[in-house]
Amino acid sequence: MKKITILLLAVLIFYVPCMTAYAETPEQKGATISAAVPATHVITFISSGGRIEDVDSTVGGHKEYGRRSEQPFHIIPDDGKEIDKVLYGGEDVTSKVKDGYFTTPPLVADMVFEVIYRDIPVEPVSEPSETPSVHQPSDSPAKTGDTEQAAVLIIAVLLMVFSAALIMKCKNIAN
Amino acid sequence: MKKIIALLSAAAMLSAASATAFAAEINESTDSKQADVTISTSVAPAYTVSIPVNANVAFNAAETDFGSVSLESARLAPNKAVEVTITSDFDLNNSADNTAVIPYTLKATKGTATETVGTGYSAKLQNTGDKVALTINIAQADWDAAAAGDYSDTVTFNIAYVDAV
Repeated sequence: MKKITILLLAVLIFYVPCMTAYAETPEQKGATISAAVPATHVITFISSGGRIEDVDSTVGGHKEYGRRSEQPFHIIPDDGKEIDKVLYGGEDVTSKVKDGYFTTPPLVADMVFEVIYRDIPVEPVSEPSETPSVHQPSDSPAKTGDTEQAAVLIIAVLLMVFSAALIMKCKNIAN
Repeated sequence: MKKIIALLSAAAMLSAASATAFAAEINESTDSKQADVTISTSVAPAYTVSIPVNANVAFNAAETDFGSVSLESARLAPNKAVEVTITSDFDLNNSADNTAVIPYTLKATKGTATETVGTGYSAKLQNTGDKVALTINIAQADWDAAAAGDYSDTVTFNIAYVDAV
């Protein structure tokens, strides 16, 4: 009996691969492509020399914001500092900062927001000179005192001309 | 027992034989002492085609490898080929809102030629090792416009045995 079983199995093994090799009828198979779009994105902040309102850490701080939201940020430099450059996602957006405010375009990916500050230049204080200069540079605006002096001078000249004319008139009448 | 085994062996031999020979009769009265005998057999075509498995596209990825359609083994008749037809609507559909989609394209490279897979694209494979490499491409503008959520789409591969030309 065992021999018969072995023989039948041998016949079956020999027969089955021949069946599966035929493939003349069309066949269909599918493959799925999938993707996920996150609901939030992270902005990382770098702001050494000032702070960005609503952000705690000046360096490496980060916050999550909703996808496609436009976020306004107020940049507040430390005392003696001013904004030098603002980079958003590596792009220089300094020209888009108005009165210290910058609003991001719709957020569609994680971003880095970096503000670079510089020292406000100190203007040299000119000491008052002991001998006041007589001549003003041509390009400097006239001061109030100088205007008054000129007016007095003109009035004096006019008075002198008027007086001379009056004297001449009196002499003519006397003659 | 021996008789049974002999019977089974004979049956197996008979079933395995796929060609039948017919004897031609020649005798002393036949004019010609020659006769032609045709031996015929038939080898069925067989092939194995591998298609891409499911693929996940990373967020904001411009190009993602989608694997390839390749002829792993082939025993084809002359002037025959295996034709692979790709169909898809080329939109990844949002699972929560089917009006929200991310358009994508498939690019197929066969040899050195690359072309964008359109509706009804097909390629013929004839030799073992022939393949069409596929990539999934999504434009950055389409990523930027996409609403949050999970997206998917099914690409169907139809395999048929056709004339090569």
